[in-house]
Amino acid sequence: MLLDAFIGIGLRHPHYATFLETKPAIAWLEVHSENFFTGGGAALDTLLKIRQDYPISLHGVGLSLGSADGVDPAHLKRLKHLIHLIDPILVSEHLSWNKSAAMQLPDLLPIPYTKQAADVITQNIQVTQDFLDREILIENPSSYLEYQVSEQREVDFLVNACQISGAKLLLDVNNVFVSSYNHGWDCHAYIDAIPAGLVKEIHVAGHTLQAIDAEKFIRVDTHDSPVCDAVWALYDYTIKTLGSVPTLLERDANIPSLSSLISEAFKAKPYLKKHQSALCPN
Amino acid sequence: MSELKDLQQQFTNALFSKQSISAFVSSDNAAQRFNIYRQTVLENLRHALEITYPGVWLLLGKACADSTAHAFCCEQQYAPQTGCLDDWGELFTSFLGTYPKLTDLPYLQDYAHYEWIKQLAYKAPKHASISSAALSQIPNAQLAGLIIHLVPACYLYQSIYPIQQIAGIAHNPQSDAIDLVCHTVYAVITRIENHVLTLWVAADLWFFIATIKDNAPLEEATMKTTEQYPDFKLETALHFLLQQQLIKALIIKEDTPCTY
Repeated sequence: MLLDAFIGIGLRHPHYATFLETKPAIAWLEVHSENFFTGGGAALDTLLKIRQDYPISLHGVGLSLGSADGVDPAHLKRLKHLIHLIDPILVSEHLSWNKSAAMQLPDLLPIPYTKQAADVITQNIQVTQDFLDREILIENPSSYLEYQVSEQREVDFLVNACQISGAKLLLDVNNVFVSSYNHGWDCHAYIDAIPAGLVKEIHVAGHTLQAIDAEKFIRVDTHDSPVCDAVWALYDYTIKTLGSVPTLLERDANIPSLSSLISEAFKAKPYLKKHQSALCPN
Repeated sequence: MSELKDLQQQFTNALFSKQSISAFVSSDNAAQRFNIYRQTVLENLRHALEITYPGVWLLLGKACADSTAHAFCCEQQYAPQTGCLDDWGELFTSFLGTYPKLTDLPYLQDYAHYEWIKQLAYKAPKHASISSAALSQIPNAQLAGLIIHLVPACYLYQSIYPIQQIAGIAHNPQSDAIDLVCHTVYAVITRIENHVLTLWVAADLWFFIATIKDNAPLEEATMKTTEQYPDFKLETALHFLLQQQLIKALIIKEDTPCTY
């Protein structure tokens, strides 16, 4: 199997025209589902054209799988319609919430890792998969705080939710690195706790350091810079441990030229080659 | 109320009210950590407004527009109600009209409303328009009961301010000064392919299109328009609708779609 087929990038607005004009060599693309929930317009037209040449993964940021209020049926309907239009290779969402009562906040907010929250998210994933009639992938979040009520490690909570609901895991290696730093977790132990075969996609991205007091810093998942060496090192450890799976580079701010972004995504290739014998059957 | 629901409500309230979150956070520097979420939410909302209202940002300047947007986004009552930010931001227009720091700019609300409608047209579902041949094939006897369905991207807009000139100022600050006192201006905003067009039209044409948009049959729309505007010319109006690719379908009153 060609290793290039594993490597993809997040497709963002500044690159739409270049993609249509140059059709660059990249195996697959991922977009944020909600950016195409409108009934029409240039963005959806462009995506449909690009879809003719590239496999697309739909990555959601607004379904709020961790909400105690359940998932929004209207949101699910719009996602299903988009899936019908795009026929994506993967559909993914986050281990997070953003909906409370009538409000929906534009961020991926952290879930307390409790038994009750596990029941809620498992139920919400099942409702989603039943409605969409397909498996979805759940991405581990980057987080900046922990709750007093949490009873489990995030990785155990996530793996259990996937295993009970039948979902698969989108492992964001940058998020593992960011959250581990912010909370003092062992990022290698996080990877070690994930069963082989559960991960169907990997994300890598850049982040930034932000001071929270005179001496202490926190890592913030900004997607505005290249992937740092420490995250590539954790990526190396991840595919050595779990096998090589499709890997996508995300960039949402300070977006470089398309050729630079693709070059950066191909930094994954030597690691994939190094662990070629551990290619994941997925 | 479940513990999870209660925690999520506390979290949401704390985001907007700056209440303490120490009751549910175990991490050190809890306030600073929580503030990252608050900043992200507010910045994502501000950015969404800047994309929707680029002319407002040009008219106010970035610092003033960002500050105004921040004041709007901090109000819990204006928070998004769906998980799709493209749905959100309409209330920013009325906020601009009531924000005390902007009382010197009475036209700003109307200008923002203009940008909001352009955005709706930009994102409306694509739909083919009918040709003039289709209209000419309708038997005369059925014309009176004809209902004209307009394409989804067709929106109507009116203002008491010279919005076209204000748009010119926004994009070219060196333009000549403009007189804000004017007669009402009317526009049809639509999209052809992926380009949004603003068609500034006369009051009679605008009134006619507004009437057929309300599903009035052609004869009724013509009659109502002529009552208000005796010089109204139906032929000119129909020519405009066809030329601008605004007609989606023609329906005879008996609910039988034409097969043109």
